[in-house]
Amino acid sequence: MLHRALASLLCALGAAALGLGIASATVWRPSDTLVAQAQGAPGTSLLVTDPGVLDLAADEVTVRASATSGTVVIALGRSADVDAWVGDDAHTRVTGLAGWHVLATEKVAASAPEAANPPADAAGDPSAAPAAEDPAAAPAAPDPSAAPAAEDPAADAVPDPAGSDLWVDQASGERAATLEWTRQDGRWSVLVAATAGGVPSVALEWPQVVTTPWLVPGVVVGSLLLLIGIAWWVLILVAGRRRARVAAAPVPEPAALAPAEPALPLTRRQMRELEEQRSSRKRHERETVLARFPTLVTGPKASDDSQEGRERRGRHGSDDVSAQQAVAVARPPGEGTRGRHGAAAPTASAAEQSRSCRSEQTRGAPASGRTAGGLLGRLRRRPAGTPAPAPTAPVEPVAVAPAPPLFTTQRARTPAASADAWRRAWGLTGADSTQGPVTTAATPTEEPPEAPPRRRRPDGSER
Amino acid sequence: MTRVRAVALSTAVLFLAGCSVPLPTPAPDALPAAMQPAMSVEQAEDIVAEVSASLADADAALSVDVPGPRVTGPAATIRSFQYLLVTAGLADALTVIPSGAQTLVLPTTDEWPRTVMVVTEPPEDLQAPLLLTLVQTEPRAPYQLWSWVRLFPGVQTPALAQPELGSAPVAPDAPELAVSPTEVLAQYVDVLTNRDASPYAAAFTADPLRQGIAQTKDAFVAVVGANGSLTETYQPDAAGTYSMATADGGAIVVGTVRTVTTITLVDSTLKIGDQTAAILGTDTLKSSLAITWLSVVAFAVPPVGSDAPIQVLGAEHSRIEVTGA
Repeated sequence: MLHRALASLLCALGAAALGLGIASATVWRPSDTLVAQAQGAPGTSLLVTDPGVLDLAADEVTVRASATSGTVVIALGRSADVDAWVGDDAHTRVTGLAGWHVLATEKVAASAPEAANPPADAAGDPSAAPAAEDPAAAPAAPDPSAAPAAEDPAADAVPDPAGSDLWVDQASGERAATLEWTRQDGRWSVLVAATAGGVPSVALEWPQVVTTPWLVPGVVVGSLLLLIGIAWWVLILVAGRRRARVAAAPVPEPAALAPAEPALPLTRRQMRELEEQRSSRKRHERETVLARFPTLVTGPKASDDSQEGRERRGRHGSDDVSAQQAVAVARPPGEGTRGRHGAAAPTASAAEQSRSCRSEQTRGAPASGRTAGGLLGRLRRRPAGTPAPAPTAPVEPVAVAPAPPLFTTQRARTPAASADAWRRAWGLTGADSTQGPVTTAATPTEEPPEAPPRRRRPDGSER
Repeated sequence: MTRVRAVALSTAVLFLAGCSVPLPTPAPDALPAAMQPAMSVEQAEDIVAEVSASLADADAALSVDVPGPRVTGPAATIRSFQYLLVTAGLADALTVIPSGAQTLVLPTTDEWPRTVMVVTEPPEDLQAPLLLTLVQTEPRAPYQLWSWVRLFPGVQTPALAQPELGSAPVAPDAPELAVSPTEVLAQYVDVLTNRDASPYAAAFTADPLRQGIAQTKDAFVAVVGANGSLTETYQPDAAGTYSMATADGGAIVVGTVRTVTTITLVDSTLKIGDQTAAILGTDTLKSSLAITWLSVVAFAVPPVGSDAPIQVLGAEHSRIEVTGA
């Protein structure tokens, strides 16, 4: 029981380790990217990363920016350039990571000289685009500043970094833009601008080197444990079956007790039930068991058993009988006592038949004794069933003992027509002549003499 | 039992603590000890190309007042006049400005204004290459072409630092030069005005511009003669100077000189030629003529302590205004 529990535990542990190992590389596999996001502080249309933020988690970074409306611009340049471009405008600075998926931000309010800045912004930045369209605007700074102001509702509030010569790389798009960057020496920053106003948001995505350190150990250890557990279970099962087979052999021991049964008041039905139990239990291996059976059984009970079994078997089919005969006959007569005894049952019959005939012919008394013995044997076999045995029983063991086995064996050997058996049991031997040929085995002559004493001896010693 | 539990708990805590990775913090590269160029070579080439493209658009538009968003200062002034000339029928008046850069002089600075000097590939007409000066006045401004100069034939520019290393910008009053940029202009103007009588005549190598201005003046004087009067003044232009350090510690200084020639005729006529005539629409003047010239001059100024003369590398001399009657 403990072994089974341990084996089961091993199996469970192995399966668990296997599953966990695989899951660590599949379901629980960490993400290939680290993504951290930030939202610009309210009131800032510009967002700037500090130097070092871009290559925070990997040398390559993908910058995704979005804005609620209008064009969003991502510009990448030297940190000094970005800071200079932003100047005194209000903006949001990304200073690092606040969590694994959140960027730390910090709002930088517009500086005091803002009032001085607008004209500069208007003249500097927009001059790139509108100046070409507006011939009159370009030469004179003050005037054109009015033109861009008319275009931008909030004047300089919405600066557009697009197209500046400062940027090493830039991207822009309607509401969303993406820019990829590979680390270079120096200090670099990214500038995100929502050109239509509003607040931009940014997400930095770094590729991560994902390792699955638990996959191989998990699979190896898990499958090892699982295999060991399964092997253990197999061993347990095999051992269990062997033990069961070994345990099946002692089962006939109740049969060894059976010889005592005649003394006990067993009814015929009880006996039949016992017999049925026994036969049903090992019907599938009857042949071998039966072959071995007599070896374990001592005394007449063996003949009883075999007889009963044969009767029933005979009822089932004659081929059973023949098979059994074949087995029984095949046993060499000279083999140990058990073997001979086992063989005795079948082989004796021929000799017995002949002898019984002979005895009938030669002596009259024995003949009656034989019939009486037959009757007695019959009675003894079914002590409770028949009223008759009571008076005759005391006589039987001594005088007629040799005879009954002849009948029993003989009957056992015949195709077991019950009528025939009864007829013979009652001394009506008319059917005997037909039975002679059935037992074709060339029975050794010494067999008949040997069988009876053997049978008698235990009988006598017991009672 | 509680002890076992405590041990198990502490083990688990230690295990989890070992698993958790601290948040990475920004670790930017340290600021380099030596100032780096404000831009990469690629960026500079992009800028030159942008400027060239923008100028080409403006040239196509011939929009007299606006040579485009990428041109400013003396370059814009001269270009505008060239558009006038083209409009007046002188199709070859436009100075061809090649877009390819032969040499880049990039500024090592993080301040504004920033200056980039470019020696272009030789133009297709086999003339000498140009020295362009690009200026970014403030962070949100684009780089603009401030001036171009035709390098004189046979002139050799001083050694310049590699663009990857960059060149330091030189302030107009920089003391590390033998003569500060502003002073260089003043001295040169004095030489133009007083010619060989100037105390600085020997400080400058002879150059075609000075010769040309003198010859033009002499020619006018000869033409006008006793029929009128001619005055010519020279003065450093208000546009100022831009200077970039050279490898030897000197600098290339680009400045502008404004020359105004005024002729007054007395009972006589003056035949004028090509550009002036085209602008005025007539080749015969009866009373007066006023021509304003703008000369962009590039000097190679030796470092302080050097006795070497200031070399005039090149110049662009152009009328920018003509009036006459």
